[in-house]
Amino acid sequence: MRLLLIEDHRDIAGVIFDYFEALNYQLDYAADGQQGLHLASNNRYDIILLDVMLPRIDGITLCKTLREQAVDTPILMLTARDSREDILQGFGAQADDYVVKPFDLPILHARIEALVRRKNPSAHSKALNIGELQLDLSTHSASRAGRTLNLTPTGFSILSQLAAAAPNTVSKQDLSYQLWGDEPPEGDILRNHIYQLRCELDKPFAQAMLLTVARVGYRLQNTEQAL
Amino acid sequence: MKHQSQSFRYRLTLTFSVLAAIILCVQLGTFYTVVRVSEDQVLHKKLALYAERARAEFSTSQQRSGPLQIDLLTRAYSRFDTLPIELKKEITAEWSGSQEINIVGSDTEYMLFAAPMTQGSENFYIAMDITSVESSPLQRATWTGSYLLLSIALFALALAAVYLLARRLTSPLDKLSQQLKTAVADDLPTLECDPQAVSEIQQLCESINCHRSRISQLIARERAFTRYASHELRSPLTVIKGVCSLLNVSREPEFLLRQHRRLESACSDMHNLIETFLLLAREEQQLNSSVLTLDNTWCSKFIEEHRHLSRNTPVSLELQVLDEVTLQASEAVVRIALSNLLRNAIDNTDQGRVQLIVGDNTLQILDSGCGLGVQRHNANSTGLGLLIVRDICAKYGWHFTLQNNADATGCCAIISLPPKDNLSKRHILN
Repeated sequence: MRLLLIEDHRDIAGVIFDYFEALNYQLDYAADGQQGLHLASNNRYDIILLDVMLPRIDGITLCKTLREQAVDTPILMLTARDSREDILQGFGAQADDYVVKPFDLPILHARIEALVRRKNPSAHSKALNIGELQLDLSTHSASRAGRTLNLTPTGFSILSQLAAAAPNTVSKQDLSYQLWGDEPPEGDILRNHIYQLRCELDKPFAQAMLLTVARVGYRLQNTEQAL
Repeated sequence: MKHQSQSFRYRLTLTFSVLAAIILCVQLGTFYTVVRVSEDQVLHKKLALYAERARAEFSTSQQRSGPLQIDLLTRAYSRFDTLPIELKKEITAEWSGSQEINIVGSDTEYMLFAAPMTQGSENFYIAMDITSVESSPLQRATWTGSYLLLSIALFALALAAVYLLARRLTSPLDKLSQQLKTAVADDLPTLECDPQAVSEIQQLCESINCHRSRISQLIARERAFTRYASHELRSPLTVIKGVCSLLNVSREPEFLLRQHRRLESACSDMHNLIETFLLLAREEQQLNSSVLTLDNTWCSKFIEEHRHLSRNTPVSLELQVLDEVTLQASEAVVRIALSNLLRNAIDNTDQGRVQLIVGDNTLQILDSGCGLGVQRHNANSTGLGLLIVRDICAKYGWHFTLQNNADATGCCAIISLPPKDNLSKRHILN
């Protein structure tokens, strides 16, 4: 799970970092609205935690700007402002949730999970079915038309990401980040993994499921619908 | 027991009505008396004139024993024994003067005059039959009744006029009262005064509006203060609550040390805030008498504590200590004031520098930002920090100014302290 935290209070940011890092979240941090806008506009996140009273660009303006830029990442506002008007203003700026400080970290975690699940329901299901392709996320096993696919852990991870996003395209950068975080290996390792995945997923079959979207990334095609 | 007060309109109407009734009664009595007295006076004067004539007649014919007919209704008598019997019964031979006499057993009335012919001699008399001249009791009752009816009509007219006047005078007050009653709690709009209202009520309305405006400002200020307090206290509370959750996450010494440092920082923030709020709520005489010296060491530490605010931005945070400045205030209060000014300056500076300049009995926060009066991205900035700074300065007698820089880039917040000798005197007094 990739999370962007935009919060000017150093210790609050530190507490959130410590808590969510322990839950294996990948966190980015911005201490003011300007940095936050830059990061949110140029990267994909599963969720953005946004303080309202920020230096340079306040949270409300930032949230509106992101929505105008068609950034549809769930935004959860963290704020010390608790009046009815403040909450309505937050939702008016198209935030997805509004949490008033002081908050409980486990509850914040639960809210984040709920927001992400609502945005991408398949990402949290234990089984994914794309036509004749079936993935069992609990046993890390996959099969196509009843034939078990012999996948490496990286191959399975790529396939599950593509299946969760299907029929949408997943960018190479997002795939790379999900696999290796901020430190991708040198060379075009991703292409090698895609090649190996294609060998298992498409080679024995007449029609390919894994398609390349030129200069963007990859996507899974439901072959039953394509027919 | 609650005293049931009467309305202004009721009192005004009652007072003027009673006054009108008294005036009418007095006037009625006066009218009646004047008519009766003037009637008698005319008769007395007439008898006095007839007396002169009768005296002359009786002097020339002293042997005259019969009455002298003066006019149709008046006769003169030279002696007591020549008077009609019914008059003799009413007076004595020695009586002199003039008097109205009602004959008992009949409706006849006389006006009788008696005076001595000469000094020490026997009286002569003049009797005028006024039965047909004077008004009868029925006539008197008629014109008195008519006058009474007229008086009652005038009284009713006066009563109506007084009531209408009272209503007209009190109507603007009623409208004011209604506006005050129907106003929502905490909402203090300007009261509208009837333009026809008398100047005193318009003045009252202006005074009430002025007072309400001041209360409104105070409420707004109080709310802003509460909002600031709520916002500023929630941040350290969030840290404390977060640390409580994190203590269950890991027991690694480095991790625990980090949480410990955060707890200390949060407690210190809360302590500074609460101390500042308490000091602002106290009377001036109860202000803390501690003295704080802002030297290079203190200022450097303060700047380092705030350096993270400008990290990753093209804004440099600089310090210039020209000479030490001594303040008669607690460190918490000074920290809150300077921290708010520093945060504002960094927030409003896109690039360049923010300087803390200490010396010459002033504390200056100078920035190269957008300056005053420029709309920033931060539309939600409420200026609460500046509100607290102004409150602190007012409380401690410091002079606070916020002005654009002379070179038209950025602005400068200046806290000017009282002269050192004043400070010393204050310190001694406390």
